[in-house]
Amino acid sequence: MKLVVLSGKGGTGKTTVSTNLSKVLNMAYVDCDVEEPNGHIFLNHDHVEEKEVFLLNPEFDTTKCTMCGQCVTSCQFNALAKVLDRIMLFPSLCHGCGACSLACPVDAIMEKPRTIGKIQYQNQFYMGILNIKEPMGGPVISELNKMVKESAIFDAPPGTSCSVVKTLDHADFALLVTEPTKFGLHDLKLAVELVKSLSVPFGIIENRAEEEEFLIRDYCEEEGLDLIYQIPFSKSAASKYAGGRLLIEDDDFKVHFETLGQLVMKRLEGA
Amino acid sequence: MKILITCESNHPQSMVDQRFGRCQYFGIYNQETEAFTFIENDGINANQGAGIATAQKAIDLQVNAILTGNIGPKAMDVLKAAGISGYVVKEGKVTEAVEQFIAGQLEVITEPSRG
Amino acid sequence: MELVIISGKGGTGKTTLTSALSALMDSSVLKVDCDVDASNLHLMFEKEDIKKEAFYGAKVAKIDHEKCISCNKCYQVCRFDAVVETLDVNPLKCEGCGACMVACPVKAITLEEEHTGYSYLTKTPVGYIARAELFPGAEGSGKLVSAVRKINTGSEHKLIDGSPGVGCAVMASITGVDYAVIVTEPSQSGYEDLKRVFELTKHFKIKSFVVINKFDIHLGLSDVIKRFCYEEKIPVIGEIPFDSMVSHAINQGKTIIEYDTPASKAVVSVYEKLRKEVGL
Repeated sequence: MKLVVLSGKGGTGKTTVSTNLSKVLNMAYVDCDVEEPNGHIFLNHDHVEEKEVFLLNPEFDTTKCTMCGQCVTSCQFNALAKVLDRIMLFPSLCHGCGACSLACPVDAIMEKPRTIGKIQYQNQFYMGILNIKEPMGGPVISELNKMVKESAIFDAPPGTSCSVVKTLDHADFALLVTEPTKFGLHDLKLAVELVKSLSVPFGIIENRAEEEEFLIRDYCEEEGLDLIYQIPFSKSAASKYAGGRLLIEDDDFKVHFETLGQLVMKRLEGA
Repeated sequence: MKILITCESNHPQSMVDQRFGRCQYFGIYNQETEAFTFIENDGINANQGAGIATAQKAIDLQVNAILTGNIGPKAMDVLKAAGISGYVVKEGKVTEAVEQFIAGQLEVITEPSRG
Repeated sequence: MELVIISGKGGTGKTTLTSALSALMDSSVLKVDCDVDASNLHLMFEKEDIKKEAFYGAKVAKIDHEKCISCNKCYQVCRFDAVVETLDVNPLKCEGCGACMVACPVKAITLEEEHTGYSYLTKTPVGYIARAELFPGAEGSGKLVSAVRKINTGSEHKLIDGSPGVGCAVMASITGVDYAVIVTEPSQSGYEDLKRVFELTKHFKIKSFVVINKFDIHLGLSDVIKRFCYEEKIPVIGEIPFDSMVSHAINQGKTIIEYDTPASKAVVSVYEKLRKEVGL
C-alpha cells in the first residue's frame, strides 16, 4: 500500500502529517523531499544504513574515439562539447540517459556511475538526500520507489513539479495537506489538478484549521471534494513541531491523528 | 580571421547582446572579405547549458575571437579548451565593437561572470 | 541591483515578507515571483495581467505509429520508464533526452516542444510583478524561472521572491543576484534548511542576510540560529514575532504593514535595515 502526502504549498504540515500518521498506522515513512528532507528530525533512527544514488555519466575511450561529434549532437542537455582533440563533459548537466553512448558509432563511450545523493534507511524509515549543488532530485526519488516494498507513507517534495509526479508513481491514495489561507487554497487547487490528471484517488487534510475560517471547507464543498479531516491550530503544537517532537506525544493530538488514521484506512480499503 | 559578435538583432547596426549563451543572434565578421553574416541562436531556448551550446557553435563556425558582454563559467571552460578568446564589449553597436577590436582596444575576458 | 528572498524550507513566510517589502519599496522596483510551482505573490494585490506568453519548457518524444515497425528498441533504451509497452510515450515521465530517437532504426521518433506554462507581466498598485505558472506536473521549472527573470520593464532594481528548496529552480532564481535574504523559522526543520540553502548562497558568493520569522515560537532554537549566523558572519536583520494577524491579513488581501501589530513593526524595521545595507 502506497500512501503519498503532498501539498501544493510548502510549510503546510506535510511532514507533520506523514510522520505522525506513519506512527499511528504503523506504516513505513519515506522522505521524498530530497532537497530538504526533514522527517528524520521527528523519527528516531540511530543505526542507519546508507546506499548511494548514482547517475551514469559517459567516459570516453580516446583510443577509439574518432571525434565525429555525434555524441555532442545527440545530447539534448548540452552536457557535452567537442573541443580540439577531446570531448568535454559537464557532469551536473548530464541526466544519465545514455543517448550519447547509443549515438556513438565506434563504441567509444563507457558509462560510469557518479554519486548525486544517497538514501539512509533503517526499519520503517527511508530518507532520500540530494547532494548540494546537484540540480536533479528525480533519480533519488526513483530509487526510493524501487527500494520500498512495504506499506508506506511517502512524504512528497513541496509543489506540483515533476519530482512530485515521480513520488506519485503507483500511489494507491494521496493526502493533500493545506492551510486556511489564500495561498494555501491557491496551491491546493494546483495539487488537486495534478492528482486528478494522474487518476490517483485523494482526500484533503486542512491543517491549522481555525473555527471562523471557511476558505478550505467552502472550496471542498463546492467542488465535491473529500475533506477528510481538519487538524486544529494550536500554538503549543507549533512549538512541539519546532522542537522536533511528534505531535502525538500530546494527548489531544494523539486522538486527532488516531481518528485521522482510521478515516484514512477506510479510504485505503476502498481504493 | 573570423570574429563572432553576440547581437540583439540581425544587422551590423544592432546592439551587442550582453549575454553569451542566450543572445538573440550571432554576427560573424570575416576580416578578409569585410562581410557580416548573421545566424539566429537556436540555443536560446535550451533548458540548460545554453552557454556550452553557444561555445560549441563558435568552435564549429571556426571563429578566432568572440566579442560579447559576459561569459559564464561552463562556456568559458569550453572556449579555453578550444583556444578561443572572448573580448569584453561594455555597450555599443556591432560595427563599433568590431572596429575597436581591430584597433586592439578591447580587453580579453579572463574571468567568467557569476553563476 | 537584485535582491532575492529565499527560505530553503517552504512556509516560513517568504512570500508574506516579500509582499510587505513590495508595498514598502518604491513601486519602480520590479517584483519577480520565481516560485513558479506555487506563484502566490500576485494574490496579495489588485491586479491586471498586461502580458501573457506561452512557455515551452520541455521536449517530449512523439512516436509516429505509421512509421513504427514495433521493434521495441525505444522501450528497451528508455531509462525513465516513459515508453510504455504499447510503444506510446507518457509525457509526464519523458525527460526529453532523445535516447529513443537515437535508437529508432526507422526515424519514427521526434522530440517536440511541449507547452508547459505561461509567464505574465502583471500590474499592481505596488508596481509590476513578473511571474509565471507552470502547469501542474510539468518539467522545466528552472528554465521558466530564467524566463521570468528575463522579463524587463527597464527597472534598475529587482526584488525577487525565490523558489523553495536547493535544486535547479532555486539555483536559477539566485544566479547573478547581488543580495539574498534567507527567511527562516526557529524549528529543527527550518534550521536544517537554512544551513543547506546558505551553503548554496555561499557557493554563489552572494552576500546573505537572515530574517527569523515567528522567532518566539521556540526561543531556544532562535538562539541556536543566531549563534550559527554569528559564526558564519551572516547579519540577522530581523526577528518577527508570531502574529495571528498575519494570516488574517493575507486572507483579507492585505499586506501586514497595513495593520499596526508587532509583526508589522518588525517587518518595517527589516525594510529600514535593508535600505541601509543594500540601498533599496
